[in-house]
Amino acid sequence: MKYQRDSLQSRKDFIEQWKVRYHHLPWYRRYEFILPAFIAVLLFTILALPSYGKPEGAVDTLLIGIIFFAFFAVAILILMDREKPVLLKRISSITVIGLFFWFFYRYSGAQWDRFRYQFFNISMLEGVGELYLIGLWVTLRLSVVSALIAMVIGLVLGILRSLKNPVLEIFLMIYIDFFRAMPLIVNMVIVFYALPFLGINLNAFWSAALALILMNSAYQAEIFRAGIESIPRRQVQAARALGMRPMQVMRLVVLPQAVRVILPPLSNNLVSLVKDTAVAYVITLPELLTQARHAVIWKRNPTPMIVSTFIYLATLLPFIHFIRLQERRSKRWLRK
Amino acid sequence: MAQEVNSASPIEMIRIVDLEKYFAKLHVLKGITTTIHKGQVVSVIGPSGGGKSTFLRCMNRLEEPSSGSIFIENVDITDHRIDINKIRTDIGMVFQDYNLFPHLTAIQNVMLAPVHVRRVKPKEAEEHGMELLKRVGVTDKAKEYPFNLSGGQQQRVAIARSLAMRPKIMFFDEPTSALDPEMIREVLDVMQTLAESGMTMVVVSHELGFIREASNRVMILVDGKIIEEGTPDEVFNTPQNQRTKDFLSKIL
Amino acid sequence: MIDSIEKKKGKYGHLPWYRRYEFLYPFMIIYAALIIFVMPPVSRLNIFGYLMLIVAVVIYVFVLVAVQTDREKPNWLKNIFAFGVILIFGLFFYRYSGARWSEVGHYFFNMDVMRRTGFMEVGEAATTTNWELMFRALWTAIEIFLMSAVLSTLLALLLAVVRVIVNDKLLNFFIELYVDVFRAVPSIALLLVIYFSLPYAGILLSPFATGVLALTLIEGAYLCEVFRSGIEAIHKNQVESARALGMTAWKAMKLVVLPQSIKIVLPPYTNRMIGLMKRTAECSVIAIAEILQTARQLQSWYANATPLIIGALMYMIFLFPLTRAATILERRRKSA
Repeated sequence: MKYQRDSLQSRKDFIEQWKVRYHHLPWYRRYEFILPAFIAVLLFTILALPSYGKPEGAVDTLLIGIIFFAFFAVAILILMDREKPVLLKRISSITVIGLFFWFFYRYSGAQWDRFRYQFFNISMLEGVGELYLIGLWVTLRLSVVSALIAMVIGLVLGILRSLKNPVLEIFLMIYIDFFRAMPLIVNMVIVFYALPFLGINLNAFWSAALALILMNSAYQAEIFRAGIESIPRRQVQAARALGMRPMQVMRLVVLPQAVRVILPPLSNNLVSLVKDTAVAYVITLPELLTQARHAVIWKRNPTPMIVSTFIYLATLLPFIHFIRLQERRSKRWLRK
Repeated sequence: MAQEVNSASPIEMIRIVDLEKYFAKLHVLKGITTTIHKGQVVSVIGPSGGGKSTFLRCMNRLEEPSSGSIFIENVDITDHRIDINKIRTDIGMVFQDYNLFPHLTAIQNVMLAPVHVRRVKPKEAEEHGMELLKRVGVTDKAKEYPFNLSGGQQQRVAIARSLAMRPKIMFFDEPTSALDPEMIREVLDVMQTLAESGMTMVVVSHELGFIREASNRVMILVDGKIIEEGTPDEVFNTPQNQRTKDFLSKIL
Repeated sequence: MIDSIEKKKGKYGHLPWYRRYEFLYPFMIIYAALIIFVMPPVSRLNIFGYLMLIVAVVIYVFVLVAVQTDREKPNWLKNIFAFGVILIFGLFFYRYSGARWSEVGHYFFNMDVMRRTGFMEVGEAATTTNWELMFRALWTAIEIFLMSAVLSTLLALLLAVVRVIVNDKLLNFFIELYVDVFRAVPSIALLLVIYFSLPYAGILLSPFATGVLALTLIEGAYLCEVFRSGIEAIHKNQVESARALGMTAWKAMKLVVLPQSIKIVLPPYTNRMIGLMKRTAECSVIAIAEILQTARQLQSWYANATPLIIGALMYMIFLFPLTRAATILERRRKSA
């Protein structure tokens, strides 16, 4: 009896305490609101929303959108609140992600039963291997050739820009801005389809390479210039005071430090160069994407296209991830 | 005490004749003429913007003098025929903000110039470098990168880096003004032992204690001119020029 | 006379040979003479000729750098030298690119082609001039650009805020995955996959919707990174001091972080928007009648490259000033 009364009293106390404890919170951050809201939205999702298939009509679409964002908002309220327990946060973030995929699964209108047959059908890759090999080889060759030439030209232009000669400055500014403003694909189409009218006939490979080189050398010139100019003058003067010659200063002091500034944007640029080789699809260069498209038409199944996308992903994702890590590290280094 | 030794055998180290410097239209140095002897420790003081740093930097042509001549060991370094890089190896310079090379460790910083400019073998350079780091008291940090060192340690490494070229003259451009108070002492101590070892030094500094103890000549540089010079006692206790008095009253 | 020669010798005695006037003046004169009198006039060269050309260009660049880095050379000489070198490179291109320059007017700037009507002679098109077609195409491109700009900005803002402010591990993982994946996929590949492959699984989108969706997804990924770094650049100290003044998280965000972030974010954001406008040209691969697609159709119909050039000019008129502005913005931020 005593125990019961005690516990009853303490329960009352508990509610009192609860009230006092959460008194300072605005209504939308209190458990009394959040937990019911959380559960209500979930129940509504499961019971009231239309079942599979594309939502028909604006009302359904709107309803689905509102439900998702309502849920998202409640979850954000929980996640942003410092005082909510970690367990609740974890549950709500998992539910948000789960709900997102669930909605996509239900309402994208995709026929999921055909999904595997259409998109991940290994049997459709039979005989396509050779096409892929050619495509990969062309993509690789195009990337390496244009990256190397673009880097040489970019470095020279970057050094020329850092010289601060007004005549060179104007000319380089026009060159660099022109090719940074010109869409790569337009540039490539002009080189491949328009220049032959004048009697300049470049094959698909060199048309693609030329367009890539022109654009990327312009971007890289800026990167190299910024790298060289990022080294403070006092570093150069300290080196000069030790009796070093200009070339030694460049080699021993400026470039080793500039590399750290140059490397992240340069590797970003190289990644996007590799990605941009896919643009050569429009001038029928048999690179990876073109070959995949051929395979799709041949097999009447989109699996080869999906696979080629995954090849790009598998090659570039590690680089992108690595660059991001490097960027963070170098920022830390610069901050000191 | 060092002063007496020097005055007994005055060997001319630096002679400056009518040095002038313009930055575009700004007249920074307005005709400086002076002579500095071997073993002298000269302190240059004066209000900021008076041209102290420019004066120092003209003496190893980090700034090109507009006119006038600078003789170092009787070689006119403003003559374009001489190889200024050779001259600079004989002049050590320590900067206000240390300017260590951040991509190299302390010992690599010290070794860099001897190996690539003097063509000393890396091994010898390293031995000499370690010796110098020991002298300035940062042996334990030899393998650390500059951003792991405190300001005082960085400045001492910078001094060692200059000494590694075995210079005949050392310039100090406000070596302690970027430092926290508790680190100033350690740098000044290194400079003081250097002064006592008979090195010719030109120091731009506001550390009056150091100037009194270590230097045997004080120059007051105001508006691009040397308005007064003499021993620390003379200048601090019996200043002649009115502007010197004004300046000293502000800092003493 | 002899005295003055001796004096000159003395004055320039310390210079290496390639920086002396005795070398530079004859070099310029002999080279100019060689180019004007000895090298072949407008024509194609054989392989050997092009090799010589590359060697000449390399030599010119080296001498140019040697002159420009020389402190003792007067400025007028540097400027003349730079101008001369640019002129000579232009001459090289004019002479040896193998182009028939007399036909530039007819094939590249033929306004007659643009004034014609009745392209493909279908329905309404019979009375519209090609100019009008091109401007309609421009409007389509702008529509795609605006739609995906707004959508991707909203998406990226949402994701960036969730990433930085909510900072929940699970959500971060999925956001980072999204960002990395869409930074690694070539936009053309994504366009092709959505337009040609998804219908196999029952997801049918119009070309316009495909274009907007693909560009939004890709741009959202990049912009998310831009916004994140913009917010993170301010985040810690500033937020702490704002919170110490009693502001709520949201107020700190609104009053302290965002105004500062906008300044940091603006230059890369402008750059991304320029990139987005450029990328609308890639929608031509899924048969949207935007600038490039229309220009290419006109070009092959009339066997004349003028529409392509006009298309390129349209991009330039929009993007060249923007690129310049972005560069200036970036500089201003760095110098501030």
